[in-house]
Amino acid sequence: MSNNTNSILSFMRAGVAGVALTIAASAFAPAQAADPRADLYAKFEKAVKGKTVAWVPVWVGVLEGEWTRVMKAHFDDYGIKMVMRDPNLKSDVQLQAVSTLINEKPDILIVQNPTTTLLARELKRAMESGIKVIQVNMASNQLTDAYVGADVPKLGRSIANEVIKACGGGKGSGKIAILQGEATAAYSFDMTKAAMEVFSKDPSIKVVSSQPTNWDANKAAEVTTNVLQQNPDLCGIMSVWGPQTAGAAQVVKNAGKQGQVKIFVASDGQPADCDMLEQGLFYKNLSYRADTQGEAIVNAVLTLLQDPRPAGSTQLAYYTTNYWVSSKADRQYCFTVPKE
Amino acid sequence: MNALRRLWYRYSPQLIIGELLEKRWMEPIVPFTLMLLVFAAFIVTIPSYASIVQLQQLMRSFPEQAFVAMAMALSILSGGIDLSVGAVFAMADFLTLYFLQVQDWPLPLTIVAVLAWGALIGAVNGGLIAYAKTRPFLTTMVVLIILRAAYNKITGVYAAELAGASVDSAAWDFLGAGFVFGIPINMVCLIVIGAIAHLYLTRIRSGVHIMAVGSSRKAARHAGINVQRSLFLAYVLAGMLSALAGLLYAARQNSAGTDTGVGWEVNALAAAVLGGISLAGGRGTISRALMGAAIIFLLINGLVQLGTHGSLTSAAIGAILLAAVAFNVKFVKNKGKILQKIYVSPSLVEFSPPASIERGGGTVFAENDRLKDSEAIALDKIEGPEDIILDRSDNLYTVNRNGSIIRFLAPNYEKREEFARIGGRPLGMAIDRDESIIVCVAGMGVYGVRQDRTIFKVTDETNRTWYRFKDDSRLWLADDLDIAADGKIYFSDATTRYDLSEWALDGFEGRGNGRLVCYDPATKTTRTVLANLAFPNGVCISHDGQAVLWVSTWLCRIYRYWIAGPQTGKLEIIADNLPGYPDNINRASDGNYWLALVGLRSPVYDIAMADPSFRTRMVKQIPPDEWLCPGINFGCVVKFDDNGEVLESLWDPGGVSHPTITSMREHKGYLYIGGLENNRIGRVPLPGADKSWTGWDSYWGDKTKKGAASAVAHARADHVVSA
Amino acid sequence: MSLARDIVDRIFFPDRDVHAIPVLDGGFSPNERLERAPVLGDTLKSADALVFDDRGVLYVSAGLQILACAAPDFSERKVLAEFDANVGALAWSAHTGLLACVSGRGVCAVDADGAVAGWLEQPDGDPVRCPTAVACAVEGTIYLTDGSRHNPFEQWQADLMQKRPPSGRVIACGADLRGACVLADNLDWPAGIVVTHDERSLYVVESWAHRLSKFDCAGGKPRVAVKNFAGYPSRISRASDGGYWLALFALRTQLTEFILREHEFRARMMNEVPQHLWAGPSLGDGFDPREPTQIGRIKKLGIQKPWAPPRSYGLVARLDALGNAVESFHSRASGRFHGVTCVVERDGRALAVSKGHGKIAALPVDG
Repeated sequence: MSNNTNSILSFMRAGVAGVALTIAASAFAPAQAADPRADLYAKFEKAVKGKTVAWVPVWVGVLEGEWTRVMKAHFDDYGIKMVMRDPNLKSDVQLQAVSTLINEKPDILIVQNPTTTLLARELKRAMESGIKVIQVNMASNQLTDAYVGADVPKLGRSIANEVIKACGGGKGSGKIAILQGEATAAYSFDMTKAAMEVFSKDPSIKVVSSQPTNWDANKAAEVTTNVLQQNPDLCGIMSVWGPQTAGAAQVVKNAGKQGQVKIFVASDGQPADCDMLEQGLFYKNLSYRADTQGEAIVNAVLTLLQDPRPAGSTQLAYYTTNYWVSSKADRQYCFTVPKE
Repeated sequence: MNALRRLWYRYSPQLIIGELLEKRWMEPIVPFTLMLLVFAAFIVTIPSYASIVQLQQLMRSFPEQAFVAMAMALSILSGGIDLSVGAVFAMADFLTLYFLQVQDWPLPLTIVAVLAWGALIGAVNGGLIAYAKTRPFLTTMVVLIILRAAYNKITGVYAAELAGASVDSAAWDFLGAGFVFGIPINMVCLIVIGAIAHLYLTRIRSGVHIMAVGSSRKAARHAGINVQRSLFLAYVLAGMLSALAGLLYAARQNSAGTDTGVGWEVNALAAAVLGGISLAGGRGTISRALMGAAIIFLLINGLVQLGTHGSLTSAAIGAILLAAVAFNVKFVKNKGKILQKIYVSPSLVEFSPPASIERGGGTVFAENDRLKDSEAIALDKIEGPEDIILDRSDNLYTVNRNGSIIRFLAPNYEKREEFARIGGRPLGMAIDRDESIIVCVAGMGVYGVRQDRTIFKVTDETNRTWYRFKDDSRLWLADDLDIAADGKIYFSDATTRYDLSEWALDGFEGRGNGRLVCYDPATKTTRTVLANLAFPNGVCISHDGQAVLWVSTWLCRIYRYWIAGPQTGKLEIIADNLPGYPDNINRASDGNYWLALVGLRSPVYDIAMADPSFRTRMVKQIPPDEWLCPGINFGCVVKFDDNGEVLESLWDPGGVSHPTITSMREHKGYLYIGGLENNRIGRVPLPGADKSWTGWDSYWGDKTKKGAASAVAHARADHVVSA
Repeated sequence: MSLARDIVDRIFFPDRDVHAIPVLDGGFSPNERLERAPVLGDTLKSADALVFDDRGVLYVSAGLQILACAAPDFSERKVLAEFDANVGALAWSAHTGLLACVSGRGVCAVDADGAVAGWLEQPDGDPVRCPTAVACAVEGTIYLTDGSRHNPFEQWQADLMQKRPPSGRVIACGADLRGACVLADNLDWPAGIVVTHDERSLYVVESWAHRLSKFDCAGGKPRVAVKNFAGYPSRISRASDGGYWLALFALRTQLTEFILREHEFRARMMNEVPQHLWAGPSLGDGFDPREPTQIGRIKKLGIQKPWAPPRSYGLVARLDALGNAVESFHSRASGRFHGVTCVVERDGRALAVSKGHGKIAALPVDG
């Protein structure tokens, strides 16, 4: 864990230094054109300024809003134009939006895939037509120029190991319920798959349920209610996203099984997740920070813009580092939504 | 300035709108306009929205929703509703991917299997609704819930396989991304199937039965339609359409997400309602459903492209749909009323004061009592003898308002017999060389009856005016006719905008709505000779056979149109500003012509005719029964010569025996008088008239002056003769 | 919009004439009772008003003359008096005798020999040119309506079409035709007046406002009893049952109301068309084939439909003490008893006079 902390800190330091350098460079640029540092900035500006980035999330929730805010702030600074389309959780609308954007030929297309297949064909078409594509957090079957987001299988494994620590080996009944997100979304699919591999190695763990909840707290609540009825001695719930898990947590609380049923969640650092944890509704939260993730997206964009090779040449990955949030002391790993 | 006014009122836009509204295809005008508006709005706000690529993209994305809306429309038109369309669609989407990618079935088999799936669910719906008589709403809702649950379960189970699978098939890729002449393949499917569905519902028996069942189940049953089978069929077809949508969606998206098809039934329902399809069933078309679907699709697509926040998009669409539906419902309900308010479109007619009709006033029109003591023939044995004619054996023929030609036998005209029953409303008559009765029939055309009482059609249509919305190729109100020496039949089609029962409204409008038409027996063709005439009525071939005399009732004029001789094709006014409204013209024994004045001009009405805006307000503000109209309760008979000079007049003061005089016929020293709304035929002796003169002899007898055979009548449709 | 306007009108101007013509129903349901009523005596051209004296002699004004009619059935008619202008309304008072309204001049008392006993011509120096109705209280006071300051009463059509600001008056004077005072002014063609049964108030009819108002005998603010008649109300008289007889000389039609809104058209019509051919109400006299026709009045098979929009009409209504119609007698569009200008009741029957068709008919008085 300390390892993780170190790496993120160093990453941040590098980021700050980078920004400082940029500012310094911009201050000198007009005066001395021959200055190599000024040259660097000129090259940078030439590569990024006036470029267009198109961004299509699944919808604009808290997480996506945070990404958008961070991206916007940076892009404004660099003179990059950003266009966003909000399909509001409608996959067919999202497909339309992406298709249309491809026709509009932005320089970079950033998508968050609702499923592994939905956008695959269009992403390929985008790269063929010269648009560099970045996928965020939820990947497609189609690999593109860059991926920014959680290392989902790793996420699944870490959380599964934590579950085993809490419920395995005779601690509790060993009965586990898994709340998937969207069954065909990469985030949920890969995480569940990785977790199951871990669980299968421990015979004391018994997965009694593994169902998709479509990112919906109500659906999660329904599923949890059913599971609790059938398995009153449930030990743990492993879930993939804070907001949907909140539904399950309420059910557990109302059933008076808070404490008995431990809820493990992998989430995106929304403030509400930390709140839930502090209230004891979540047992452990494997979190990453959307704001830093947003900066990672920005970095990917900068990289691809400055890379002269055509679309489809690279397959870069910017994996996010995760932090365990298990008490109030870990509040720092939840971002705060700035008041507008 | 006045010329401009006249022009404005002659070609009033109201006229076009009125005729447009009358069209059945104008019913969906609101959704259609909205669709265009939405499209136009996005063209303006979104850069390169109308580019080819973008249009292709729109066409690519639209069809699946359109198919589902079509399925919904079909079920609504049959008088029910199918809420399961979205779920059937989603399941078909999954099944396509499953068969193709997991089971590795060939594409054609997959297509058949998926369509069979749709048909199966349709059959379940239809079977329950048609045969078990369950409620469509509840039945299909249960099916929706079951299918949705099954879909979620199954996609969950096969998520792994589907997420990883892909299929490598050119046909499959073509179905998902192919173009035909630049149009996406799924759009081509939509166009073809939409056209077929439209034809099916309007032209094919079983489709029409579905509409009939939707309109009124009871009436359909009474008409011998198998109601259950029609309903069953409607749901099966709806199921198949949804399944087809799912198939195309699968080809395009390659994905079966949990949200696939969620809420599509609501969108489809909204599309149907927005398109103006009546939820009560039986009223609407496939194209309307497509329009509704297109509006919703364009709105969502456009708003997303504008970068609108998701929840705002939903709210905006909800509000727009609500407003549009409310407006459309109002429009459909009140279209008839709007039409009623604007159909009558008054034009400008300016008169100067006519000659006096004052008794003892010294004019030829001065009121007298010459018809007062007319002998009544066929009193109460006839209803509405608009025209009368006598044959060579002195038998009297007249028209009856029930559509028959009645004959009263000479010499005393006591014996009445129905000579022929044609139907419609027979009006003006003539006897041709073969002694057949040729008659104008309002609403039908020109017909003939031979002496052996067989009926034949002369003509029922003429050439259509290319620039009018209203199809005027049919003869609307054939009014009077006469036969030239060469056998050509000249007749008036008094108005193409009103039925006979509303002829006074045509007068109220005063526009050139009628035409003079010629039927040529040699070529068996009918051509409009003069168009845009203000109620051409009486028609008579001049004694020398060289001209057609005809009258414009609402302009109170007599015209002469030359059909032979050096002046062929020339049209001239020979009498203007008559004190009454002229009707039929017939030859008189002394080489002159008889003319019936069906009504008398009223000074107040003349002022009203000169003030179209006053009349327009009248139409809008008071009911039709109260409108001012030409006074056709009282009239008289006048005689005029070839120069249009009126020579004498015959009156029945107060119209006691002869209100609404529309015709008169001289025969062997007597003048016979008919009236459109009379219950008798009158007869008065004509002192000094040739007692042997008959109409037939005047036309076809040996004494007939043989005029030169008339030259080919030039079509003079360009010649506008109206106010 | 129009609904909102109506609501506002009802609330803020409760006495204002409402726009719509009421439908003939309730007490005004159409029938043929006037058409079928027995006609007394020969045709009497332009007979206008009727009154009984206390011996039962019927006086009829017709044209320039006043006729005295005696039994049987008043067919014995002799000329009582003749003037050089048309005579209109009549009244009888035990104090003054017979009172007659003379067009363009005023009201005069006529003695038993037909000689004029006195005039009321210029109360307040404003001449009474249009005396339309006169009524007498039991104690002798004479009440008189002056229809308009602009037109004599023969010119009623012109007055209607000119739509000038209302200028009619109610005038009261003593039994000796002196001491006249104006009780009410600016009325819209007041054409009928009656002293109520309790002798305390007056019912005054305003033809162009289509209403019946109640005035205190001493004057003061009126109270509208009936706001909106379907026709043009004319003279009003007492009925034996405590109610009143009202003659309506024509029906309002949508066309007339429409033309009354069309100022330009009306001006042109008045300017160019002889008065008897105007669009608008008529009494039914002087048929002319050139008079304006309406679509609903086109004869079908030679028959004028009785429900056709009427140019002239015959209508008598019996009102209760509050002005509500109890029953009515009609001669419809196709009828021959139009333009009823006066009704008087005596000895169990009511006599109505059709000015349009010059006839007097007897109506039954039940209960």
